[in-house]
Amino acid sequence: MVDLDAPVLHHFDAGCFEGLGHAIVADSQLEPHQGRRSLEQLVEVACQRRGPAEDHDGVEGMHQIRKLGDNLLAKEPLVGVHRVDWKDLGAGVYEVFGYAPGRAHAVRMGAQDRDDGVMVCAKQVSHLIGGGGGVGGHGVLRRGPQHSESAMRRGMGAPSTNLQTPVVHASGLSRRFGRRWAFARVDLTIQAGERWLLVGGNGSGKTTLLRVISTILRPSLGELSLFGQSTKGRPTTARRRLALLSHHAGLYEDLDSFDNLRILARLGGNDPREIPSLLERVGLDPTRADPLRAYSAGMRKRLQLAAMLLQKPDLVLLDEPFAALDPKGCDQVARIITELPGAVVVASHQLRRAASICDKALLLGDGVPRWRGPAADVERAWSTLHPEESA
Amino acid sequence: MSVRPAPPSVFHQVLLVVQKDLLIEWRARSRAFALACFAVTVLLLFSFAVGPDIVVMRSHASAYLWLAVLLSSTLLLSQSFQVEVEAGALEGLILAPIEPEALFYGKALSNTLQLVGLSVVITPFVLALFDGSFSEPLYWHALVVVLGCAGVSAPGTLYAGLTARLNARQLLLPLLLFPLLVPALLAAVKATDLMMEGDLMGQLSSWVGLLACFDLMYWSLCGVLFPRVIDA
Repeated sequence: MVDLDAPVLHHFDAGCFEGLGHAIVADSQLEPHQGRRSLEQLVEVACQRRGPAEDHDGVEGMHQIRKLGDNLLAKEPLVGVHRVDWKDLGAGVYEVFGYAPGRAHAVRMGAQDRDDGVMVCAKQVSHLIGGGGGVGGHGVLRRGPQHSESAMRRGMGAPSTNLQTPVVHASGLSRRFGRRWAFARVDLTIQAGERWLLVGGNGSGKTTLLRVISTILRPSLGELSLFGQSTKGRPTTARRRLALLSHHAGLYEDLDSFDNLRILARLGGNDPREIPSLLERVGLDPTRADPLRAYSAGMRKRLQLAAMLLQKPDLVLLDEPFAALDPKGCDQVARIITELPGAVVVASHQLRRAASICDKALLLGDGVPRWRGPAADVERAWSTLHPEESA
Repeated sequence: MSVRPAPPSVFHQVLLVVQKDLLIEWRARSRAFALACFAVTVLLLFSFAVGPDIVVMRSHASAYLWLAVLLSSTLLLSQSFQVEVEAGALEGLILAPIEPEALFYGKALSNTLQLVGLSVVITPFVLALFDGSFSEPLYWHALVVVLGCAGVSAPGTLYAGLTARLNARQLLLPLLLFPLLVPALLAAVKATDLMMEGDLMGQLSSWVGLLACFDLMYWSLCGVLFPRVIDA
């Protein structure tokens, strides 16, 4: 996995992160502008501020880079990158994830003993989502032995289960209410970072399918696993990693927006201090103390979005996310959806708008899958299956 | 991937539910005021129905206290789940996610606290309307009120959860709940009666013990059954 035979540089070369930064910025189709950084620049600045790499211990060096990177992120966001996560794999090895709309990339970096006594920072970019080639690179962190090569190999070469396990795997999924089948025989595999559009007429089973995937409803037939785990029993772990935006607000009518989000934050173990910024992000006034029952339908939808973002879900299920929103709100929601790092499933009747933010589409008719393919082709597929409507 | 924060423990979740429920009731305190008015109205109706015989009224005072609590509890219990289902908040809680046991014990605890508050409010009315007085120390009354309210709220929370999504929930809740509460109600009425009339034979502790046993049974059984109710 790791290019251990890569040539050694005698200073920490921030340019080795070039591939990661460029890939993400290119994917997001956003250009860096004044006052904001790309992921590449973030790492570069963190490395520069850390000072000469040779003077530091390998593990400490990594910790310092991470800390500096986090501090920089806290001050200003990255261009086109929604989130950067640093996962400590132990033995001075970090896995750095950069999430961009529709794509996510990872780089592993760490320290390794060399015969010449130099700790080498090696890295490998792996595309978690989407195509593209890996980028190799390296830099020197410090002199002097610190960790064994075997330890390095363990840390750097350990397979990450997150790279392969589908977020959703449904096989023959069916649900009925009494004698009526809401949907039947749905097979669906959703990988991390994929954006699926769920299309169908009224009563075609879209909402029920989303509710079954969210584990609110149990399937009548078929198998469903989320994040590699079956949803039979009590799927608490899966529920912690998903969010559902449904027709119901899912919040308390007597409480204001802040109180509602604070309850969810505490139950999810999240930090309530994020709430004001989240409310601002969805276009709500964080100082507004009106109870939810005084909110318009559009404002409730925005608050639902804030509640969803608070959970930092790896799977987002959105049932008619554009309903009840004004045009500006629709654009805002579309942008937020685009920036979501995990897998996304959108059920919407606004085909054109929803297709523009999704990669793949599944068309349901009378509760049965009728067509699946690229989201860009969904309008054509809909017209073919419903010629009377296009006429 | 980002390291997710550790979820709160079940005990912490219980406290969060209690805190949430009490906050909701505080923000919608007109409901609590209406509930207290309802309980006082029930007491007034009983006093009118029994008539002016002060001896009869005094001998029935404890029964009227607990009947007022019981009738008001159906409204309170029904309302406690109504706030959860009216905008799909229960789904939000389940996906938060919360353990069903924590939800049950949290809601049962907050319902108990509210019923205790209601009992404290209406007790002076009972004493005034029915010419009652306590011959035993007040801490016995406090203990009986807490145990009696806990005995009502545990099965009440279970059945309120069961009937929350039904159209006829206002009718079904008392139909299901009242027969189950008969033993606890009898023990609470008898214990309160002994406090008011005087415990000459030293029976009070036995009735309080019996009430505590019913509470223990209700709270453990309902805690086991509630996750199935939520699943359904």
